[in-house]
Amino acid sequence: MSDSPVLRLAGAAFTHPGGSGVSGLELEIAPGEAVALIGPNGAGKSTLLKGVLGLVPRTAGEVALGGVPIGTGRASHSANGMLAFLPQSADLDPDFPISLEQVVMQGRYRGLGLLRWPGRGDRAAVARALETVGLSALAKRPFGELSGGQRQRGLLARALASDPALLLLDEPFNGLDQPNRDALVDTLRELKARGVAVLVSTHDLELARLVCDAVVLVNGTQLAFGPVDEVLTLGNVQECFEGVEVEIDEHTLVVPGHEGH
Amino acid sequence: MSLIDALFTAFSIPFMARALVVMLVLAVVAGIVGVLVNLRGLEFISDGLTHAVFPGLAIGLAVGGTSGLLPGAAIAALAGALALTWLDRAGITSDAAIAIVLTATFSVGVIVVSKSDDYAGELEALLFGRVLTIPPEQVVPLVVVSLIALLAVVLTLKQQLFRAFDARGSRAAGDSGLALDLVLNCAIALVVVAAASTVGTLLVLALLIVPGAVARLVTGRLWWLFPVAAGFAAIGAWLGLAAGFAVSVGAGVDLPAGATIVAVFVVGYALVLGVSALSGRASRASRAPRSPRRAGGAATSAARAAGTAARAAGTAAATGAGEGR
Repeated sequence: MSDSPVLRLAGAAFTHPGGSGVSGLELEIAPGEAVALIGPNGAGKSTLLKGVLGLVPRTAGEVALGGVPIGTGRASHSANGMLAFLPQSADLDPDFPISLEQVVMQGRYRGLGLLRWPGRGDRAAVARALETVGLSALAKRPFGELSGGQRQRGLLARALASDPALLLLDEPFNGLDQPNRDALVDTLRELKARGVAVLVSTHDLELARLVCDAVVLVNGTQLAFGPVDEVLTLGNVQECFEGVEVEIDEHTLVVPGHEGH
Repeated sequence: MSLIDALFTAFSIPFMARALVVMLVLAVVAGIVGVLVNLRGLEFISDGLTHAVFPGLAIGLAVGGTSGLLPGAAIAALAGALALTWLDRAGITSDAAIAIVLTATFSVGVIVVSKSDDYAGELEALLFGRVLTIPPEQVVPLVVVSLIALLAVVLTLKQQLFRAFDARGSRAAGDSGLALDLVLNCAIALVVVAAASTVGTLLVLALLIVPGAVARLVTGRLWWLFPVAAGFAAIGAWLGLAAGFAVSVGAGVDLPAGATIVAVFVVGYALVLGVSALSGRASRASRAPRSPRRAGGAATSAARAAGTAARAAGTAAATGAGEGR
């Protein structure tokens, strides 16, 4: 297991039943390594993450988790306990009567199965996860009363509580203020130090440089994969974001294409 | 008649004792299942199941008499649960489509019942139940059906709550949404089955929806929802039976028991709503309707409760001499 990458995609494609998708995926993530998934809106970043989770069918190539190839289609291979997923937080019902602590405990359910109820070890894992994201003081608070950034960190704690080998994050920095952003960056660094592999989709190139070891550029298909400095070149980014409007502070920039392209 | 007589002594009469046992078990189970109905916003599917069960009851009655009620209802309810789970997953949630299917099943039931000799009596019993005339041999089957529903929900409770809160997260954690939906819809169906032969298919909805809605008003703590809903339902069933008995025997006005129970539920809901509005909890909850889905769900619950109250009032008025005939 230590020799094999946590995630390997070889010529993989994930396609929604509607036809949209992302293809030509060739990448490897080792334990303790973080990979940034970068591309414009609609490039298939979320589709890639959901494909790895088994929520979008794989239509070509191979996907291996911990060196073990997984079946085609939507088999719920995530049941093997290796994966955790941090969704974009906005779409959860803020009126649902549940405390932060109870949300984090959901991360332990997969290990418990149907019949067993959380025990002392599970409560300890929840407390650890809350401490890692710096929310121990708010454990008993209703989840819906937390700020957006705190909710995001709470969901990250839920992902941590499941002791994943690979953590998938979908745009975790969208709409975060600076303190929450810093807390998230610190947490990701700590996770890497513990040997957790991370695949994070983001618009934030700066973040990729801060936390990630490698970058995969996608726009419908994979354009590049490799170390941050080699992939995040002007030419690559231009090719990926060609014609896309980028907002930098208050300015809007339309990325020009290559000359003679 | 004294209060003590109505609340306690009345239940030493065998038919009242049977009614109390069945109603207590049913109310507690419906209360617990109803919390999930509330959290998932499944009021419409529950309504659908109450209609789908009706032709099953009618056919069961036509084929096997009163002992055919339970099997007939169980088959229809489970078929209905499968069909509604499928409709939901296929994305067919148009009210019109489901309403057409439901009225179709209801009309099949009415046609079957109309072939029986005592059309009006049978129809009334199926729609409004006969909790005071539950035959002794049906007590155990009704309790067993209720307990199976309870078991199905308790065994999957953690996962059901996870799915209710975050469906995508629950899928990502390896839970099957289809399996969880099937289990929950079948549990709802079994509650409808047990309730159909006691309070009738039209009033079942109150048992499933009112206790859950009350619990949401009373507490914001997840695990308190279940005992609050179950306790409210049990007290409501007991007081409803006692009130029906007291009025029927004491005042000589024959109150239909099922409708009286539902009326007590709805009065209890109104009281809790009033108290929580005064104490500010409701205003806090409605302060910022950040989630349109949940706001709609709460409105749906309230509307359903109101509709059920109207039905109960209508039953009480229309069937004046209902139970005794």
